[in-house]
Amino acid sequence: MSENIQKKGESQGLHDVMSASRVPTSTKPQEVHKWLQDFSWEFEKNKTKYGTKYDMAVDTKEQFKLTAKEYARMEAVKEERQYGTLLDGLDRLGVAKRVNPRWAEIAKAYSVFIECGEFNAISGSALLWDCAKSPEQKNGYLAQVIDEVRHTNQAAYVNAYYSKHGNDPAGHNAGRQVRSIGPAFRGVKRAFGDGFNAGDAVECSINLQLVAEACYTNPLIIAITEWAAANGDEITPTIFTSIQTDEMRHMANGFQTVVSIINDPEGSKYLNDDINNAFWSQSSYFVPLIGLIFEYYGENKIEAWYKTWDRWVYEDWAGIWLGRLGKFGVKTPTCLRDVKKIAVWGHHDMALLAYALWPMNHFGMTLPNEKDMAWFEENYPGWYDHYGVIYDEWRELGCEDPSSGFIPATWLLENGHVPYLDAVSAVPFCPSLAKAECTLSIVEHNGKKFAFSSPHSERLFLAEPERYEAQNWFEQFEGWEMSEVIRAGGGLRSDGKTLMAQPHLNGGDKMWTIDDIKKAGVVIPNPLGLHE
Amino acid sequence: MSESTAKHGIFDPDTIRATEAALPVEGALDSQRKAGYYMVPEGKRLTEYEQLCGYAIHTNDAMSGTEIGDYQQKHAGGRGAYSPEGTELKSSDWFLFRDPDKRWFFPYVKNKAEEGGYTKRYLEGYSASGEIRSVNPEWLNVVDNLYGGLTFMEYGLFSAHSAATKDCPADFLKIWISMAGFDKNDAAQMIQTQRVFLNKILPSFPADPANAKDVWLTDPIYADARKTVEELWQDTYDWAESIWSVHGVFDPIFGQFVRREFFSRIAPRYGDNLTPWIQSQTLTYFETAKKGTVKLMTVILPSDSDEKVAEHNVRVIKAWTEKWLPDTIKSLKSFMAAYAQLPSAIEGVTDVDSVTASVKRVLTDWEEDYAAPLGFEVDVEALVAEVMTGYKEIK
Repeated sequence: MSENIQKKGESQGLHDVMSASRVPTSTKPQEVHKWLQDFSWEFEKNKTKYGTKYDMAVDTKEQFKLTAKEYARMEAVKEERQYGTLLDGLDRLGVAKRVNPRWAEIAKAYSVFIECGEFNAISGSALLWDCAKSPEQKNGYLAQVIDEVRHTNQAAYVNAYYSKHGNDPAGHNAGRQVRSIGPAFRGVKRAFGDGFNAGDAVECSINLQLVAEACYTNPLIIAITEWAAANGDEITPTIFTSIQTDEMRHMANGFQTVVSIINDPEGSKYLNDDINNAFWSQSSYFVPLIGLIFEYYGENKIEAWYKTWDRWVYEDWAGIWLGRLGKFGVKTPTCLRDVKKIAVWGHHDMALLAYALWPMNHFGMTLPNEKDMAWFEENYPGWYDHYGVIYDEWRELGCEDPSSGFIPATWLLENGHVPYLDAVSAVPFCPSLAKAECTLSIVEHNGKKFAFSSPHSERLFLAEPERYEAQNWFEQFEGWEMSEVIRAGGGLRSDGKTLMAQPHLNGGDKMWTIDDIKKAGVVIPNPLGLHE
Repeated sequence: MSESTAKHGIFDPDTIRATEAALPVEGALDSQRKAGYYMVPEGKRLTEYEQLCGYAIHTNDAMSGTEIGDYQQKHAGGRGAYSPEGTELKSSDWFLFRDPDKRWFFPYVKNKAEEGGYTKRYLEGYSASGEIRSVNPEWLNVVDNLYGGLTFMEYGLFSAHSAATKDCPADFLKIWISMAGFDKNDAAQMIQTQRVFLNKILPSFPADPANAKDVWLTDPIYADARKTVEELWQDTYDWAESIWSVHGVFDPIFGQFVRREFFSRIAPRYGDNLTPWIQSQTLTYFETAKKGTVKLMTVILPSDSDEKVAEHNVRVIKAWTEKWLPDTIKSLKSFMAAYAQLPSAIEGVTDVDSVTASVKRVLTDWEEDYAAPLGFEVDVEALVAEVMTGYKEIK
């Protein structure tokens, strides 16, 4: 028991207040931050509420040393600039109406998909906030929690802005509602949602900070701004470059997470496996998705996606960023070469399947035009003979014309091409049509069948099946006719009959209605049911 | 993207022509320009706050039509990211809650940045005026040792928000909880800011919180509060119980007493206007947290559209109150010995009748604002009497 406060004070002596300085002064954030490590104390129950196989060191420091007030000051300045630009400059220039329609269309998807990631990163960062022992680390993770609130609001703002000012608000105005009937969103939920906050805290950090943020925000949030600007979109760059200024701190958080566990020999033996698994399950979905967004929606193209991927992921992230972590025993993911192969053809495979199921989205799609096809062939020799011929056939069958009643999804099954959803990454794949490496395997577990596009996915599943036993999109809507799904998900425009999704962007009387879909009579199958 | 390499389609004549040619001739393809139009607003019109926050979460607990589908990856063992099992409370619609202050990110940080900016100007003025020269030096020892203990209290309460932020199954709530946690982190840091500032103008005053930490860890004045904070931090797995135990029981009683009735009230009597100024920010954060807590726990959840759910919620919240109230009262009782540590008696403040009135104010407010709306019966006089058994008079 310590002396009482009075006696303590006496032993410390009295302060000579008359000698106090009258030089005007305040405090700098760093002067306060340097004491944060003293804020915590040891007590018996002081352990995380979430299971982790890692032991995070109590003395880990954070790289960016921000106090709450300094954080707020810095972020408030960014917000003023960003919203000032949007509401003042960009409004007056009428920029939303000057965006290439294809690009404005995909903004309906990428913004609400990224928003899913940002929102779930709130929880992912909170998971780390709980698990960290170091007060500085807790401080850094908490700043990330609040950053992700910011990013959620920013991504939502893209949709809200387009909704208010753009040429086609439908889909921008209801993305959060309608996205969930889209097969594409399941993969987003996994890679940009559950992967961040459902699991071991450090594994989640690896998914969120080491892979998604340090690796994929560069192409997804930075490279996308170049594509956006080239296609007349100044809204996305205004917001996304501002988002990325916070990602630097998140990458630093991820780096420090590795630093904090590296002296735990028991835990760190799992580290490279966790990195490999995170990289595979994120990449197998993101790599095709980002390539699809850029190349199939950017009328004005910047460069082939595999080149961007090489630069940002293969060289920058895997080479330089992971290289810095090499001194902590971090190795290159063993699946890196397989992912590199996906970067070439994966997005073309995905685009075909996405177009086949176009009514299930909250955004429109278009067939590649002549200019697109020429560019694809130049950058991906062999593209036309594999994909172009199919798109041309669909065009001839009238996939754009509602009076044809033709939805390409039926063409797939009629021609023996069965689409599946990978049970781990949720990526859609069709082995008979895929040009990217893709091997179908089916595993039965607990009386249910699961499909995998790669041995990497199958291995992840078999190690922890209960984590991936989820009802997939086909199973959920098996037996539903397409128009029923669209109605249930709210996928109609304000006239109550025209679809938000369209197979073209021409507007007019060629827009598909719910009656056109009903007439087509497409019933959602369960591909795994073919394997009874 | 450098100026020399970036291509801005908005200024490029070919892109402009191609875009104009591609636009549908009929103009906008839909008349519904309100993002989130499908949401039911809390007021007459959908607010920007609702548009930017509502239904961002992918949880199976969302209203019908906004989220369909299973979690695609789960915790080891099979639990989804956000599960109803995260709390004993139930709701027909977790999305009914809206932050009373409608704070999305921008207004939140803007307010806090303004507070930070004003803090800087205030400290500069305080130091330049030499106001510290009128502070009783013995009181500064109390600031160093006893007041400094609040750093750890606020830090512990901040830490209690992490799991609640993670597990909460609705976006409006999650954002509100994260901000409440951030405010507590800020509160702890502001006390350290005060300490660092005092050290700058009076080097004999330590920037190091070691003395305060020693008191927090070993002195009987804080022993029960520390134990309660540790339990609030680490012994509560129900996210809603976390929020209620901190913002509905402990902080409105113990926190408000030490901040408002003890330190903020007493400091100026010893010439110290800095301490109440610093604490005024935390008191503001308290009121913000109170609005949301009271709205969720005493209005929305007890009036769920399903009567059985409403009754269940009231039973549970009352049980939590019954669980956390005794330790909170015990914490306050132990703290009463702090009066004996003051440099001198202050008429109308530190005598037994005045202290009794202080305790009664806090407990009466708590009873009115938190307990009575739930029908939780409390004998305020008895609680005051119990707390006052810990009171020690200044000799």
